[in-house]
Amino acid sequence: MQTEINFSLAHPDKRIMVGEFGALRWADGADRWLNDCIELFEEYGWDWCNHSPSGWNGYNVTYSPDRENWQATAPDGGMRGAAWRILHEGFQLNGRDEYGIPNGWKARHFGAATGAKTEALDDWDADGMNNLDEYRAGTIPASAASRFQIVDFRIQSGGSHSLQWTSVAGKRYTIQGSANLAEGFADSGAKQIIATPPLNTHVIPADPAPSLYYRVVVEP
Amino acid sequence: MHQIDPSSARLHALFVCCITDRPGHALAPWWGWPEVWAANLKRFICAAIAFAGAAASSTAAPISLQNPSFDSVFQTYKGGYPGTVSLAAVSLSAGGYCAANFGDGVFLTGIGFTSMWFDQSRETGTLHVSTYFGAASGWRGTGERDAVGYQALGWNYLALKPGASTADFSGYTVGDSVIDQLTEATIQADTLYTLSYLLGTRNATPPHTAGYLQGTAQRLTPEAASHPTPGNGNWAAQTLVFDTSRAENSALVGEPLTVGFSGGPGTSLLFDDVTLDASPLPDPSTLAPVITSVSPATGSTEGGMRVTLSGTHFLPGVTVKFGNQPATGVTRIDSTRLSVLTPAGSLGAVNVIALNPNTLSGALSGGYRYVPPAPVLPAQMRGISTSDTLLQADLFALLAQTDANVIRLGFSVDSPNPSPPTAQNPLAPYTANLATLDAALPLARAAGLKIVLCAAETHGWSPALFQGSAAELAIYREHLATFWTAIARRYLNEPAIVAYDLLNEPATDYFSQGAWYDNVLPAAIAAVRRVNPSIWLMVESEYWGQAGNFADMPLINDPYVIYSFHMYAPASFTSQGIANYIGYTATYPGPN
Repeated sequence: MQTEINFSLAHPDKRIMVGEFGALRWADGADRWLNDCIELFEEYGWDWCNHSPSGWNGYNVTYSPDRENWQATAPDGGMRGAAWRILHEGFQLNGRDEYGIPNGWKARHFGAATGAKTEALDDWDADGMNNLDEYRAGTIPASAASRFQIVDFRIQSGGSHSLQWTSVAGKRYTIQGSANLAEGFADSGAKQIIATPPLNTHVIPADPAPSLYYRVVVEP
Repeated sequence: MHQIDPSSARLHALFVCCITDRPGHALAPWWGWPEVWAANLKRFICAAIAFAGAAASSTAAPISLQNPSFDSVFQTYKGGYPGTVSLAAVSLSAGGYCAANFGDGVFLTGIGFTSMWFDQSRETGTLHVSTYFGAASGWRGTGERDAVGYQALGWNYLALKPGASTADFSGYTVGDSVIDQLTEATIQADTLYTLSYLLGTRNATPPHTAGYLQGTAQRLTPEAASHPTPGNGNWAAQTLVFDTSRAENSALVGEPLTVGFSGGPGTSLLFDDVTLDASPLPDPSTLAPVITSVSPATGSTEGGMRVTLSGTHFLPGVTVKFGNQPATGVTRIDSTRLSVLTPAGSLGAVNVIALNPNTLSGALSGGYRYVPPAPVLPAQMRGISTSDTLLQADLFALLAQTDANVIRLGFSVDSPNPSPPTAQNPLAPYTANLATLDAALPLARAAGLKIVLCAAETHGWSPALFQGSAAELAIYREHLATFWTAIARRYLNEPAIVAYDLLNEPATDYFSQGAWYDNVLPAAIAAVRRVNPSIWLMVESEYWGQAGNFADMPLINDPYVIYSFHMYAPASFTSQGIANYIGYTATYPGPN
């Protein structure tokens, strides 16, 4: 799979699907092979389709791994082997927690979808942004260096304001402003700003009078 | 007649130091004769200079000077190997000496052949072609033969070598350096010199050969440039730009101009297709940007797609609009390429406009087309692969016990006895399987399962379709395109079907490589796109789509493509006990 890995690394914006993968259920170690495949696919964020829990019993892990019994024609419901459990756990990466964070996203960043500091409101990397906020902002929840923040603000000659923040590919941003924090923030008119990673810079014109306070919002 | 613009005198010379002039292909083993190159090099450069000098007072387009003795040089080379072999002629059924393309017939005429080598790695000659000769027994003898027919089974270059030993390459020495003088030309002020050439390498060591321009004693300083290093045995195009308005170069104006190539100790000089282009530096205030292409040229109405604009005269500070909307994230790669993010837009084509800070602008009319957004795919798809007749309620019941979110559905003609397609109903061969699919779609929608519909054994498919004739392949290509156009129409508004996998396991092999990517695939893509501009397309790799074949996977110029392969490696483990693997009892993980 080295050529696929090379392609994936060279073209991180391209989506890759392993359209089929599977091992005959009686192959000694099929469960480990399946597990290693899924781990590798997950490491590179590839889509994957197991071939196949449907149809001929050879590659069908809903059947028992018993080689002697491989011509059985009915699923052995109670006897499904480790390979099925591995596949089932793989599918669980499609699930989400109550805040909508995909299990797969947690597994990719934390090594597992459950465990200490993996909950939505935990802050795995202790960078001040909880896991949910990192998920929404598209930043890396396991890197304190990766967080959504305004990194530069300056008042330019002529009175316009320049804002700079860390941005992530595919996200869009709204700038909200306020002249009086007690009154809260309102949209400044700058919406649907496309990310230009790693930083976005946006200038708010001097006319009409710019705000005193700003915040940048990741659009849902 | 060619004429030369005195303000843009171009000098083109062709140096033939190898038997190929094609970039990206392996070199043949004639690299080892520097003295011959040197002699030829001198002759060509002199010829080129004489030409340019004579034409310098007239006006017009660039010229290209071909080596007039190209053929005879190769005759000399071919006859000049040590040993007793005498080769009178080499011809290709496709014509030309150098590029024995895949599948070409190559005919050698001569006497004294003892063995013959097709040489991919050049230095070791590890590919002994006698294995591939149709008439091996008659060919390997030492007797005289008048003519031998040979089909080049995939190797691009032909090397003839007497003797039977791979060690018998003695007598081929490698030169250290070659420098030739262009004494008739002088270095011009405020001029951009562009020196282009193909650089070859013949071993794993990075090539030390480099082109340069030089005055009386000092070399011109080139602009920063990337210099792609050719892979072993290959060519890579190199371009060096020299700006004589730069302070360090302007001191050399008026000195005699030398074009040189130097190689480090122990390296050979491998270069070809040398072109020197001299043009006066333009005045930036007069440059209007020109957009020649936008890639990809289609994208979602939502915007936010990164596209590359190609053209000329993109000055620093250039801005871009799609219709009336400004593009964001403009990155100027160089004066000929911009990378931008598309703004949101309305369905249909818009003009793409580049605006230089000097207020001059250029537009590519209808250069970008907004299409509906692609179906939203799950953040990651994890599911199963199955086939048409198995898309039944029991499968949905099984998947309901899991979090699987996708079904890749191999789709074939009805079995048995599919109806023939008709002009009115091109999907007639799929009547039963389409009924199964249609019945399953509500279940898929309800379960939130996405379907990737894959062309498997569709009408006209055969296991050896890529091994047949070109005419047969063309017929299949049309059948597959017909299938996809009809399917795209039928399911245009079906939310559960998110992608079309254009062909299951394209069964190309060594002898038909490219037949999928270059021949059948483009027609399949066009067949879907003429109906549905934005559904996801899935493209499997050649060689049955099996893992390990992505090195040649092309990047498709379309924003909605999923690249795909199948993982059954190692087959002796995953497929033990069936087909070719009866008797295998491999375990995993294996010994290592």
